[in-house]
Amino acid sequence: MVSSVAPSAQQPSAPWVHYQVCASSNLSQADRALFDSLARDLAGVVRERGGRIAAPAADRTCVSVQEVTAAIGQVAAANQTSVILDGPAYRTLSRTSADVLAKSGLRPVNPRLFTRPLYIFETTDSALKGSKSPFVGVLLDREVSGAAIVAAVAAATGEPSVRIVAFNTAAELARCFERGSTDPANSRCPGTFGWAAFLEQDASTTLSSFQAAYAKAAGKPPVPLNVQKLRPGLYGDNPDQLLLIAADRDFPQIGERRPDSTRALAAIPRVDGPALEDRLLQETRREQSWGASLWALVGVPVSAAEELPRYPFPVVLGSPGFPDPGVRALIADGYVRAAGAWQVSPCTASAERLHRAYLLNAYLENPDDRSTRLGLGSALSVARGSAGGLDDVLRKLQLGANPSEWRDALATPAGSSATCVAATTRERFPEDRLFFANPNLVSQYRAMEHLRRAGGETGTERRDSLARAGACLREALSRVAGPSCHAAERSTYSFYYNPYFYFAVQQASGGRDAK
Amino acid sequence: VTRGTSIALLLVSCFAVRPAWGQSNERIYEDLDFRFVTPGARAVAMGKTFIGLADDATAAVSNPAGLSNLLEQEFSFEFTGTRIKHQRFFPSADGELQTFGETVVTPSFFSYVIPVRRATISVFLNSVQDYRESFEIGDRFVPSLGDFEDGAFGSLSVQVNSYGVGGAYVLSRSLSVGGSATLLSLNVASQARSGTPFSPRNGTNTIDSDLAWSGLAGALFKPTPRVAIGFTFNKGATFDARTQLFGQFLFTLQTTPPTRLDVNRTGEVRDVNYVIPDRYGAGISWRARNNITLLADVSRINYSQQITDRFLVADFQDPDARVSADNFYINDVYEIHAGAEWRFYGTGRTISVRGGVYTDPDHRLRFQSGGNNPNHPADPLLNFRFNTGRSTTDVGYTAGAGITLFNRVQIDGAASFSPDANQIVLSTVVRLP
Repeated sequence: MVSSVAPSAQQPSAPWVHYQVCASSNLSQADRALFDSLARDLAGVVRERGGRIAAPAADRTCVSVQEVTAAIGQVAAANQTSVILDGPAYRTLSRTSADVLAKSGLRPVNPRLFTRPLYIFETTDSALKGSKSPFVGVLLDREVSGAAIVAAVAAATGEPSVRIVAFNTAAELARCFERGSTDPANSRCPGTFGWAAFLEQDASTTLSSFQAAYAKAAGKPPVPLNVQKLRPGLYGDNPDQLLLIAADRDFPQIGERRPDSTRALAAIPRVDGPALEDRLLQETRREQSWGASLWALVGVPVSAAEELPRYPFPVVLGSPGFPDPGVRALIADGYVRAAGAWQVSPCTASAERLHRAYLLNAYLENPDDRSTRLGLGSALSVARGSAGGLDDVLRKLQLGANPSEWRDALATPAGSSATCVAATTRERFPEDRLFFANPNLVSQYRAMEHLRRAGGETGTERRDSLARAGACLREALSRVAGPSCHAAERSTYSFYYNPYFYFAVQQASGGRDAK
Repeated sequence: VTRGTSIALLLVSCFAVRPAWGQSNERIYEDLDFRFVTPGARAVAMGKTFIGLADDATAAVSNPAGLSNLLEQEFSFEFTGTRIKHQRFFPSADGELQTFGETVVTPSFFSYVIPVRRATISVFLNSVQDYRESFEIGDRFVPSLGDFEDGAFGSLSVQVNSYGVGGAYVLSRSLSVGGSATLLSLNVASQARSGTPFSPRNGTNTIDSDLAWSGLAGALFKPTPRVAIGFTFNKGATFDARTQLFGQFLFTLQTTPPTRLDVNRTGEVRDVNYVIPDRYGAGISWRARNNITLLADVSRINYSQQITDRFLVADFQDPDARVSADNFYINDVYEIHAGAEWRFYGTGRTISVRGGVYTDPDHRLRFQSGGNNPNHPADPLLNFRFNTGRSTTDVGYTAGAGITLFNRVQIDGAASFSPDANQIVLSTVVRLP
């Protein structure tokens, strides 16, 4: 069975062999739809370019993790190979067949960036402060190794020789951070700790537990370390886990408290390799200020209480040199669609941060695409609000400084006859009523409906729906000055209104304008 | 929408009378305070303005045309706590007032709204009035007579509820019209006596109920996306009720000179009306910024309609007094309301802060001589009682806040402070997917 999907050396006419690993059974419906969409698009490109989809049987289009493991173990070096698999499958593959994966030379080509806040507390023990105890107790997400944060913590604390000690519970860390520092002889703690650090997607629970436990033991709350000295950039020597630190910048979020100034934001490439390292380092060297400001903008601090949902984004593995720009564009589109597929309330800080992270990923994969530039630029504009200061970033994104002028670049493509009409002859509300309720709502309402319908259509119908969605979005943009996270649907109700983002979704979903 | 206060009913009850001028003629329903307040804590907090905005389910009563703003089903509930401050005239040289009233807490509004294409249908229940008061005043000196009149005491409970079915229809992109048909129910229970609780001399009992049809109509015009102008007409209603006399009443024998004596009218019944007047309103809302809305309403209330053919000052049924309904009047008034709402859109919720101000012009019952017997004690007494009180325009202030969660649940609170009542209103609007 396995051999049946392995590429054969007698197939020189098929230099590109593509494997699609069957979607994991525990994927949510939305994740499954995204995976299927990207897999379908990728398969289309493979066929278009003369490649071959490896399939074990005529009635099967996907392979199991075991089958692909066997296959990539026999792959010919001369072949160009690609594999698409979802997050859970990739974790299984990397855990059970790491050696095969390493030997195959396949690398993840769409490294995902996740952001999470970094908290550091420092001891108040003056004696300990004077001794410069190098121990740092840490609580980390399981995907992150202690080694990954050494450099960042060293930079933040000013102590170059810090030693990381990982803890399993916040209570234990609090106990050692307090008691261990004052009376090491009577403590089972592994050392005296000068600092305690947290790097988790959702640190709210552990932080509160830590603070409560520490306050109970010490009779006072722990003191957060001001990490302003932690400059934006890449930290760490481990090529498998670099820590990217974004400056803790305060952007106005209506109704949100000013974030704690002693907090930094870290973005961790969950899956990476030399290619990512090189690329990010090159980006950093080439455009230090540009890269730093962009990362800083993407990493808008949010309340630690807000959870960052884990997203099992599809992973594409490829041979060295793979993929080409066309595939990169497909992956970029996948990121945009992923951002649009989240079942989280838009306009929440966590959702917006995720949007920006994925839109940044999309931009990095395909920086020349107008829709991804608009999508990222609009998300940054929404986050920045009236504070402005995006001129340099927008210039890099090849966007004008005034978002209200962006719509001018979205003239209806030549040859397009699509208009913003109702998605159905029996639209729920007549146009007059929609206009009466909110003139700005009509185009958005219809664009969303066309996009929704396109998601369930194929072929000509899908193209038509996407074209109409594009027309509605252009119409919406003609009426609205710029992207806004909140537009008043009615006085006290609001809706997410960033047509540039939805334009990116429309383009990424197959509605891209003809060049 | 809004309206202000006051009168309606002038079931004038009476207190009996001594043969001379010491009798009491207190009207228990004088200055009775109607709840012409638009429902919804949001509207109350904005100076009781809503005619020009009308963008949630409470529009069913405040301006039904505004229901066309709704694209989802909505429920709305409201609870009101009112500290009634009924200021009864306590005659003195400087027109001193004495305040009575009770605190009334009541579920005051419910509505359900469902949009169907161009139309929107609503059903609602509105507490038009829930008034309770107990009062007791002592003897009052009447300067023009150089003598005292009896004190008076009594209690009053009036509930007027409105059960309505209404709707709105979008005529064009900028114009919606709406209307409602309402069935009003009146339940009144009052007892008023002259004298003291230990020695009542006369009075009236009014314990009755009635139903009356009414309706309201509205229009909402949006010349620009940020401006809306509303118009409303609320048809009033006239209830029929009966009041029963108790005790001794003045009667004049046409002798020379006239002889005034008491006659016992206990058990006699009189027909009276309880009137809710017509109201007209116009309002404008302007969304000055995405998060700020300014509103203003003007309402005319035809309080003069409360003087009906059945208007009765039971005190002076003495034919010699020749007092008729023509001797009484109430001014129609214009109320002005203004308010503002600041919204703070945030993560999963919108927080609103509101404030407003409104006027409540004087609309007391007044007496005018003419056609009556100027030599009868009724003339100076009625003139004294109804025309001594100061004519002032009350100014009320309102404030409130609200939160809208996940674009589905809106919870609002409001407080209103005015010379005739302090009010706390809590309401919620639930939007169904």
